[in-house]
Amino acid sequence: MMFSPGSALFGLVLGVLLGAGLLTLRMARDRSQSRQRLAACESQLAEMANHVSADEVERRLAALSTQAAALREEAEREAAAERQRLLEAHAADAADHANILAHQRAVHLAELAQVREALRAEHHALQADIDSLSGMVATLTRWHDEMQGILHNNRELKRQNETFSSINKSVVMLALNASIEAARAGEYGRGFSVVADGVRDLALTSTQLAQEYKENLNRNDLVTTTTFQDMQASGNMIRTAVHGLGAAAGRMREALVQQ
Amino acid sequence: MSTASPAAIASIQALFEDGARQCLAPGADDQLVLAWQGASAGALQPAPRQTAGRHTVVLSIVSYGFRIVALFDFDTTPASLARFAQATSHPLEELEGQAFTDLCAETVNMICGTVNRRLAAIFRHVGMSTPVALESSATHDLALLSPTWLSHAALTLDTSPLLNLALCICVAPEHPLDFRAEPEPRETEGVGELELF
Repeated sequence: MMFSPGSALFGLVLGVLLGAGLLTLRMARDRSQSRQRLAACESQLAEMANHVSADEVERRLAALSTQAAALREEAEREAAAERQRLLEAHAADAADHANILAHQRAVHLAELAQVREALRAEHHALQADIDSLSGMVATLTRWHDEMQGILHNNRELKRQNETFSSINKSVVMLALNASIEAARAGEYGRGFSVVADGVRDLALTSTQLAQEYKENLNRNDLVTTTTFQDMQASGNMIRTAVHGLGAAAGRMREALVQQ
Repeated sequence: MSTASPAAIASIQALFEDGARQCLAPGADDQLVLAWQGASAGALQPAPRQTAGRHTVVLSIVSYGFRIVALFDFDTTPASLARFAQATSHPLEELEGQAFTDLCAETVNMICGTVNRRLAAIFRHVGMSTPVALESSATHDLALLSPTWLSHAALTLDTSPLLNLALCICVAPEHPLDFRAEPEPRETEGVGELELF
């Protein structure tokens, strides 16, 4: 069979060789050695196209196929080596990043530990303050009880003053009766009348004093009662505030434990 | 010098009005009227002394910077007692002695409880005392408490006197009192309306 330009076999061979050449070109891309080999192949092909027998063509084709296979293997080896290099580089980068992250995590954990320690100390101080304030509430309750004692005593003073006032009124009546009796006794009762008038004047003065004393007691009652209420309401207010602080401290403690 | 702004005084008076209406005239708000008369410390002359036939109850509401001393002066005449029994939905025949005293204290507690609840929405910490009975002359001695502002109100129900209220607002000099209480929205009752499900 003649092997000449334009024949089918020539076209087939030429196609295979060109394919091999292109494959070679793709695989050897930037490598000058591959380019030189391709140039040689092309030269041989040009020579074959002019006057080469079929056997020679097949021999050369086999040689070229072998070269192409070798080049393919070399390219695959290089690609595999490149992949491996990239994988190793990627692994190295990943390891670097992991190290950086681990370092940052350690730094953040150390800072967090410091913050937690500071918060724990603050929590202890807050709890101590809450305990003190709870003691203050107990003090207010004690004052409250003492103020109730004062109020009770005020009421007792008012009751005694009313009794005193009642006695004064009786004394006034007695003195009046005594004056009447002294008047009946005439001359003999004159001295007694002076005494009765004196007693009545004293009783009236005492009544006046008892009235003023009552008014003062009432004023005292107003001031004492409102002061008592001020303390009582303040105690309620502080108790509510302390309970609120206690609840906040509890939430803080739970948050610290959960972290 | 301690100060209370006009808005704060008006708000406190409005809160007591709301409390009195909710307690003594629920559902008939417009029938209960409080005629206020107020002045700064010492300038107000309270009504002439009339202590016989009256029962006075005092209650205090406090916060860190102020306290409100509220004196409720109940008239114990038969006509007033009848109105009071009607306003509190209480049998008139049971309003004698300790029962009357207890009902007065309960009424004061409820009115001031409403005020306290509204103030607690404005101020972080507020506290209220228990009611205590006093001599009626106490109304005339409120100046002893060194008030920043004194207010007196005659509370009438259906144009008839029911009780007198005296408010004594004492403000700490370092905490001027200035706030505005928004009126509480009144619940509208849907009488005779159809409910669709």
